[in-house]
Amino acid sequence: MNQLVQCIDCFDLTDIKSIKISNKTTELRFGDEFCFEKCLSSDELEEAINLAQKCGRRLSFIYPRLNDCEMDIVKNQLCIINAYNLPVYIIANDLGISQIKRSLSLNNLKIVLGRQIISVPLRARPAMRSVMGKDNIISNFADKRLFHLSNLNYKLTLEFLKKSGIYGLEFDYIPETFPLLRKLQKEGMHIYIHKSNVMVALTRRCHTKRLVCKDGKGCELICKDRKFRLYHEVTDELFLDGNAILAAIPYEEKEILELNNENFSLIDSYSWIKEYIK
Amino acid sequence: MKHVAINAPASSFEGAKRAIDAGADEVYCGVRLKGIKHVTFNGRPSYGSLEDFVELTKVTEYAHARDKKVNFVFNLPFMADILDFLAKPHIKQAVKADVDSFIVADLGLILLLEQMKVTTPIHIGSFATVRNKEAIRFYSQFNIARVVAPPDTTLKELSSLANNPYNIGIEAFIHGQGCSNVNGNCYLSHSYKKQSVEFPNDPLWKLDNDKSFVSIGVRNPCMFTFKIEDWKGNEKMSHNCLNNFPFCSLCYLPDLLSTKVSVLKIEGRCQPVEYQERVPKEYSTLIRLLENNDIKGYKKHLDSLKKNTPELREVCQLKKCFYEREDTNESVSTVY
Repeated sequence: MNQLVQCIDCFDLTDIKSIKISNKTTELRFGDEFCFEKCLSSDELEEAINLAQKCGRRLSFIYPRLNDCEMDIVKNQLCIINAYNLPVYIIANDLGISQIKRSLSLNNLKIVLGRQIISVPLRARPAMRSVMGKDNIISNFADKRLFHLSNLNYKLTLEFLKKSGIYGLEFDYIPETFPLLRKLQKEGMHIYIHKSNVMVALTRRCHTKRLVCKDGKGCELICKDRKFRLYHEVTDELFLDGNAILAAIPYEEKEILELNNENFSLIDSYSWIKEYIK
Repeated sequence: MKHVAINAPASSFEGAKRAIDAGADEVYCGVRLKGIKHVTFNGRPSYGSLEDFVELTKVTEYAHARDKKVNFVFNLPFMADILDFLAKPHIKQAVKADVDSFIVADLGLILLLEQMKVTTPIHIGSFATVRNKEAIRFYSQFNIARVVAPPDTTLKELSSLANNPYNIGIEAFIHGQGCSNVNGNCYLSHSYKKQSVEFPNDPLWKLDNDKSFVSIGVRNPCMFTFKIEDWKGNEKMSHNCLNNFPFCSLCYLPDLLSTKVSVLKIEGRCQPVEYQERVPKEYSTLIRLLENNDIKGYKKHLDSLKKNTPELREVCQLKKCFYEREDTNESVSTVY
């Protein structure tokens, strides 16, 4: 089935007509899940919507967690997007966005919960099993039965989200979690998985800016050209992209076979990391 | 000026007693799950939690006799069906111990409290990372009395949050260990074993000698010096770029009071009782001076504190302030 989400970087929007859309792409995604500086301005929305319509692809916008100033901008953007009367998918890493959709009755928008709202212990670096130490009944139980769950594997939470009209959920590429994601799919949720990467940490005081830029100066989106690999024997390799720290897990198509149906999309995000996966 | 409360950490009855006697208006604590080491409902290992609910009852009785409050930490950011059989008795015992609130971060746990018809108010914990009034509005549909702003909230953002129309109080962090990574989304494992890691040669880690005012001790990967390589292989360096360090807000108390937050929170459930006593004592002294409009007295006490506390002077020299007086509406990721 292979529904693939292509992420359009904000850096590419200066020449939107020359963006190459892959044949395998079924959805175009604009925005950034970690940094509001990399989200579209309100002026750029129309171009993004026109591009998606022109190539006949599903359209989505992703937003990070927002403060009040940023939320005012996003509220305005959501109203603009809704007015186009197209089905548009909004990946929200902030519950305030789902609140706006409800309170303003923005019925053309379908909300997908981003991975910052979803807790998954297996994201931990170093891995939980190495922190827990020697084998005993409790650590084995926790390792095998608990840590590969997410906070959505809870009946009350899932019922609430379904009643609230949440369309989908976004996850990392952690194969041990996939059987439980299948259960969520059977409950009617559309599952998105980021191909080959895992969110480990993020900051509002950008590590990349701190490493590269002089004090007192703006970041000027330096992360377009400067990305880093971090290495320590305890955590294994990590990747620093802007204000986010990611880990990588090699992608294997057979691992998503059970999930791969009309309620599944694979997100081609942070593709630069794949070159370094061993 | 309306009184701003201090919420201090406690990991024992002794710690709670000392914090309350030192001037804390509230204490917050969790209870360990007996016999289970690596699963906790309160985000701290056993030495950062009360022994059992008997100890919790002692804490609430002591606090209530002095008109103080006890906030029960129940902030596991991850609730699953398999934990139901542990969560329900934990909640019932906390209610029986007469806690004044539940600090909760996971939506599932909020819904469980609702299902169990618990009337004790809920405080939304910092792991929920509430940054705006729309998110507060979302949570206002539940029995919420307060939101704990995440540690990386700016002064301007605190003002905006405190000005919410939902009658929900805002609590701000002021002191303790921390880092600039977003609390609720950090999966760098905490409490990694010390003996397997060499410490970076950084003046901050020499502050470990006197723990009465500076919160250090937990070994986190964000302390490490990483080998860093540019993605195109052009540049290599070593840096503890993920910046774990202790924080302090003593100099920012006037700014914090003007944001109209209702409670100031001190981090440190894993710190010794000397810390759990001294930090609320100093902050409550300074706040009392400010609430009496005694700015001169505040500055004098602050200078004396810095002069007589070597580890605090070192934190000042390294400029590890919790807050900044930025004059910009820029997204925080560009402010640093």
